Amino acid sequence: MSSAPLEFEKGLFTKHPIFHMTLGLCTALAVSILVENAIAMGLATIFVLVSSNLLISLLKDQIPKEIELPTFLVIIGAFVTFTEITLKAFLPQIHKALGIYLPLIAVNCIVLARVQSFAARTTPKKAVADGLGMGIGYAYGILIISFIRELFGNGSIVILGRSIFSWGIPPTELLVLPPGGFIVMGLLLAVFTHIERRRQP
Amino acid sequence: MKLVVSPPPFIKKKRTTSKVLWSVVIALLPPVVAAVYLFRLPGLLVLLTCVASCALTEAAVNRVSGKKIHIPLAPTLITGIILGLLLPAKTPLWIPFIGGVFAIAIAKEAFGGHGSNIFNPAIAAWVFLMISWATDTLTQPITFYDFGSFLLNRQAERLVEASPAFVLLGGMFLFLTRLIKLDVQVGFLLGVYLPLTLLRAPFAPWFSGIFILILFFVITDPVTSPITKRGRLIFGLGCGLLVVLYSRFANLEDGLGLAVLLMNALVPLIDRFTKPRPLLLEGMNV
Repeated sequence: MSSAPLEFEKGLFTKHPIFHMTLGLCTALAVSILVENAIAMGLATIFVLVSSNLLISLLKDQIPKEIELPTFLVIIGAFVTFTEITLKAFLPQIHKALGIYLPLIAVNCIVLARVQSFAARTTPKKAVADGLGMGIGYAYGILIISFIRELFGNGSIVILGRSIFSWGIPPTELLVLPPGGFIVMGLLLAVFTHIERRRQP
Repeated sequence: MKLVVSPPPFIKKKRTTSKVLWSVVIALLPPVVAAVYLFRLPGLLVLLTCVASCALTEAAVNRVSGKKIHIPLAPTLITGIILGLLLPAKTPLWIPFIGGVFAIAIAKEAFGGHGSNIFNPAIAAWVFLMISWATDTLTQPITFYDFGSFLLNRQAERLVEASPAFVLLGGMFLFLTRLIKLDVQVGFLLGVYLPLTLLRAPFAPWFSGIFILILFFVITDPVTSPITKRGRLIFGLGCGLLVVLYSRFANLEDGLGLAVLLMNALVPLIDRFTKPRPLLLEGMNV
């Protein structure tokens, strides 16, 4: 049995949800056009992951084995709906940009995989650590992808209407389009695998 | 009499991969000569930048992946020259440079290097450039052809349009030396011609350099086209139909590029469905 800090740490690199387990690619590719959207998506996913991990690990003895999966989905769905309504009220622009991918966190494979294979079999403390680690891993993964795509695809980085950085290069239109997402994602996956192999020969 | 016991192949020819590749390089020389003759230094610079950036990228990728640095000269030349020919002479030189990097690093080496690439590197890079920097890579469409402009088109903007006749000359060289058969081409021309006659639509680009270059040098690429005769016919037909479909809604250049890329992606499927079956196996419980 490993400790809570270890459970937290594994989501950051060794079991990185996007670049190691290749989970949640649907949202990681579709939402990562703008850094702003990626930040919102990352935060939403961290929140949903941590809270559903916590609740499910608390309820794990009460949930009958036969209806495990439907119960998980109802709990995750409740948190996702809460996130969605909150965003819609306070940040309607971002809510609009994230579109269908926000409610789809409910069936995001990261959330379901962590809940089913980890949170439902462990203590609340470890479940929260795991959810936080995985969520932060996902968030920085999608942030890197969106940073590269916005930097080269738009030539500038704009967060909440304020230009953080811009340079004079002509933007590479392809990176904003879906194929660009796949190419950036594939290259980052290669870099990640390379670093991983370096670390453990 | 000397008897040799060996596994197949039993029919041997002196043709090797490197000889075939060098013949393609030779076949590409006529359009290169025509382009350099018409565009002078800018044309030459575009071609040289493409080839040089392909070679540099090849070396860089080898270096990064820890292999011995080896630049396969003929494939690099072919990719670089085809990409260069497809670009306008006036394009800023960083465009062909990035095109070469994309062609080798992403369209070729990322898939496993020469012989394993799914997409034709030059076409993938060309489409990438056209989508990303449309203003620098698109040209006025050529709508009028006569014999003089077929031989030497002074209005041309793209290198390959300098002389469609010289592209055809290179293509004929490949055909006469039997390096390409007409299977893909027949499918391609049918795929373009049939829907057009049904729609009663004229098709101006028949005699454009791009069309002829794609016809002889791109869809015939043995790496990115199917193996069997039937498969090659289907591949060509699909390319042709898609070209007609795309160029009715977009411009011809985008149409040609995307049609080839999409059919490239389908090659493994086509190969699977056109695999020849041994006759005796039908009905046998093997």
